[in-house]
Amino acid sequence: MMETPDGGGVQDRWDQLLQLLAARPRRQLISSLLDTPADQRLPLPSAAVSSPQLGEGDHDRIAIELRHQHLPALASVEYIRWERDPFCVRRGPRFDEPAAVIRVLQESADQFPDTLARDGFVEAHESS
Amino acid sequence: MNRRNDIIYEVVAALAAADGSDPGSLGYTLADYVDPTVIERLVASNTASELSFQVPGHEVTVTADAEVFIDGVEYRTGRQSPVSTSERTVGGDRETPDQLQLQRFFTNLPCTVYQSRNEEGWPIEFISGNCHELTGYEPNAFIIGGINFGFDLIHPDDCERVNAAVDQSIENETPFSVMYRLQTANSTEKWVLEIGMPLFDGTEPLSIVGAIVDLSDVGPEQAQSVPSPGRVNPSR
Repeated sequence: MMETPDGGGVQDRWDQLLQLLAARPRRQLISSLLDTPADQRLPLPSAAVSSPQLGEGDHDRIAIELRHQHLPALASVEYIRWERDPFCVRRGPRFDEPAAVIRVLQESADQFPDTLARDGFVEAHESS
Repeated sequence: MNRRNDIIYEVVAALAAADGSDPGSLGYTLADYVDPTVIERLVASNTASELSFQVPGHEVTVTADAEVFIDGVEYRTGRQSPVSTSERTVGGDRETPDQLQLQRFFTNLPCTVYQSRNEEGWPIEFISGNCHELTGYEPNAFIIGGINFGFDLIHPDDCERVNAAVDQSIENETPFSVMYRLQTANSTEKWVLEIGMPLFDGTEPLSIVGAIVDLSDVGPEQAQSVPSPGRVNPSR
């Protein structure tokens, strides 16, 4: 089996990565951090859901989902670091792994079929 | 509702309701007590499985149908129902005395019984609770946890022989028996005897059902004297 430089299985890394990206708030977090200098913290929950149409109740709900579900999942494999107070997120030691995949997807967005409309992947991304 | 995405919020809301508080004020993070991606996979699976875990002050059970039970009481968004975990099956229906008796029967058998799909690696659809003693894995590890019986447990040097026995069984529409080495979760090897048979839908072999006996205390040589199921039960 192919191994990563630190001894992990490459196949396992891919399975883990794709599973973790199988939730829109998690993709949005990685996308937001990609657009941010490497050492900068981003406030939550806005870094995970940037849609201005969301009401206060929606933000409360996504904050709960982030705290109990999405942030621990991404942090467990060191894609991100997060803090409760102030509620914020920054890149983790293995951020490069999801970042590489999200970046490629963003750069290829114009090749997606209509059935995979871009805004289902993450929130609209101005730079692509 | 997207069950996979919403289930963690439902669990947090249920715990908050049980404590008479709001979901935002839960004093701990759910992920400290359970891997949230395991719950996601559970509710994304088309199975009749459930997962139970402890958090401070409560026992939580989540089913593959996205039902949430706190201390045995079902929670649905905005309300609690009086159906307790002891009165239902994992699929959400009330469990009859016969079903309870059947579950106890499976658990107390001196073997592990299973049903798997007739696909590569034989993905498990059902396996008795005592599989932990044999394999080191809980049933959910096979059903939602990504552990594949054929790929992960059967010794690589024995796979071809096991495949041949099952293929011949399907071709002849007869039961099979085969001995092989099983690799447990803690990387030990056990000799086992598996007796099974294919289930057909017309001519299509859909599933395999069977029983696996641990031969650790018997040894493969003595086990050779076990009669083949073809001789014991020649008809299906």
